[in-house]
Amino acid sequence: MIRYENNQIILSGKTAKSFDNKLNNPKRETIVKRDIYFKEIKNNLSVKTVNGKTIIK
Amino acid sequence: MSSDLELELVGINENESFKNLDCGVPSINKYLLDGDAYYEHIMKLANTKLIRLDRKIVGYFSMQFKEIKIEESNILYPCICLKYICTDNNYQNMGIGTKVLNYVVGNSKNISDFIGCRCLLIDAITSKIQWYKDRGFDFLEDDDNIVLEDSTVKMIIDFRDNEVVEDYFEV
Repeated sequence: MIRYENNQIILSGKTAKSFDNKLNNPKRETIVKRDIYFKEIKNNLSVKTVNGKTIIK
Repeated sequence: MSSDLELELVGINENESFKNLDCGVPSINKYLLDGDAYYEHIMKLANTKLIRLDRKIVGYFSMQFKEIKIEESNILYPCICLKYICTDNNYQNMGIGTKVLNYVVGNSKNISDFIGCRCLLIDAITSKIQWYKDRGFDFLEDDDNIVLEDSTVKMIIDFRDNEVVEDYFEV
């Protein structure tokens, strides 16, 4: 179950167990895809600041 | 990566006209147009950036910090939340959202490296679930609880470096 209180997302029961498991025992496949994505962003996303304005390319 | 679009990110407090912005989702339009985005921005409860393409505001995104709490154990995971991201109806399917999301993920990872923050949380459009999964996002909830008929589903991307953690526990 998910509920919201102020700035918190509170997980309980099966949802909490599942989330905890996903964070602490992530699937190898998910991690590999994520690391490739991080590398892709690092290599290809160009961010520059011109006159205080952020430009992404 | 998407095309050669050059997008400018503009602060919401700058004198920009966005009154005609319509992303097709009333609640997302409302957050910006009714002034809630501006209020939360100046109160530092969230941060909203307008997206400008060729001198026209074509979308916006809002970010804020949240905590994910595991009720039974009281464990708290700090997370960055992409509260809203939208592109005007006339500018969809041009790769604007993808480019902005890449910027958001990259910046969030930098913030995580700087101050410690476990993950980025997004409300993913259900039709794009596979796109997110291919980039290492996973459902916040148990996979069996996902209702694909909903318009969005909560997904996270974890910033933890697993090799470092595995090395730590092997010692």
